[in-house]
Amino acid sequence: MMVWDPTMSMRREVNKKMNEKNNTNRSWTQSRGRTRSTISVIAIVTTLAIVMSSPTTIQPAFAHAETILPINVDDQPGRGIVVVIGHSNEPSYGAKPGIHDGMHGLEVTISDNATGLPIGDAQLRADKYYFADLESFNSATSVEDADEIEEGIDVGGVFGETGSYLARQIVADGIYGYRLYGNVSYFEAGNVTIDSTIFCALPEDEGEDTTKFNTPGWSGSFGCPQDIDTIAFPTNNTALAGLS
Amino acid sequence: MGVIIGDRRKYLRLLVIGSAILSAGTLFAIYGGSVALASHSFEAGVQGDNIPDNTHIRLDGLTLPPTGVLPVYDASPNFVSGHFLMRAPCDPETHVPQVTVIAGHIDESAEGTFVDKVPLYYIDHASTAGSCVFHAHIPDPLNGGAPKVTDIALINLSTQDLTFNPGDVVDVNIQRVLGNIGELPYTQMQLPGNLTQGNPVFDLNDDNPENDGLGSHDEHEEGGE
Repeated sequence: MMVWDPTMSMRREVNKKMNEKNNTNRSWTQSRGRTRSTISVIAIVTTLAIVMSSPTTIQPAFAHAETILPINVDDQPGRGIVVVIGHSNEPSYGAKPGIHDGMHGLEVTISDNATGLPIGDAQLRADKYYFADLESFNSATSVEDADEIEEGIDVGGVFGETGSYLARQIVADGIYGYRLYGNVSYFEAGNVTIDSTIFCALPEDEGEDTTKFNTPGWSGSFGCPQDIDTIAFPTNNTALAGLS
Repeated sequence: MGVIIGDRRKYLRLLVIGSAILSAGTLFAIYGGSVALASHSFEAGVQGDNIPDNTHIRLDGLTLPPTGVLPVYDASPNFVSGHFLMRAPCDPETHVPQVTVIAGHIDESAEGTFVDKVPLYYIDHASTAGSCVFHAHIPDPLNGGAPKVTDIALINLSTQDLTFNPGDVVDVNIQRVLGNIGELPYTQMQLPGNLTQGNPVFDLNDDNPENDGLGSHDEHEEGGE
């Protein structure tokens, strides 16, 4: 069996030859390197441009809104109940026959602030306010001016999902607000009531504020139902033309 | 014939009434009419058809030197909820275990580490032969301990060697992930060495209602675990 055992001189020879070859081809290699770099930069910029300009990328992904209710149990300070509210299956889109069912329920989750344990003993109701568009919302001086109001909706516990509460609904494009009220039992060791109003948020690029009727204490937001056509691709999809 | 059937019915009725009285008397004798029951309102349990993860560690024959630590569970980076069972040597009067059960998050960085003593429930009716049986809820939002548990360990915080008895065991049943410690890290540091020996021990079966722990019921509403 032949064993290849390169000596130092052999290595030097090989290196020398490689260097000569490299020197001969340096200008071509450098030129080719520059071209590759330029192509890479163009490719990255083009990809970013396409991704950033895509309607699906522009569409903001809203987190749900949350508030913390302080609760006193056995005179121990620092306890809190986290209430999170939003629409199910976000981002939400208004119903459009043949394209989207608009099923985006009012979703509430309740948990212990310190541990994250779900809290499954709450009796919750909601009043719902709907404004068809921003103009209607901006001209309103109270939630009573909403285009449509529904009161006393039961926000019931979801079977098998402790801490999750839901009021099913089919939404339209527009601005939704909810007054959530009721009682939350903190693991049977204390009770706290909630009565708080929160409105959905419009995409940031629209630059409009929808918080004027919100009860103080909410952080984050959930998205207002948008027109489902904003996520169509291609935008001139002829197959959808006859449906709407 | 009719007389015989009538007598049988009478005996049957007497038998049913007697059985009912006997059963009620037995229940009263056992529970004394008023009993403290543990709160299970915060136990998240298993969601859907997931199978809980169970870890069973025999302790018999094991000797922990002073400051010796036996890690028994590590769910990092998730903080979890579940149930803890331990059979271990304890003080015959106070029932405080000789080994200290700690839980929380033991981070690679000391600054990110927070552990605390686990509140234990002493189970008198399952404790025999020099060892006590304890249950604990992981985490226990009502009675203290670390709120976010990724790690559970036993530590000998006494000044003497600690040898476990035959049959001593730790069983940890993890039922649900509550979050990620990387997203919700501890902002306060508490190391195992900061703790003193002995867990808080509650007892629902003795005559002292002061040590039943928060959330226990004083009436017979549900069975204990």
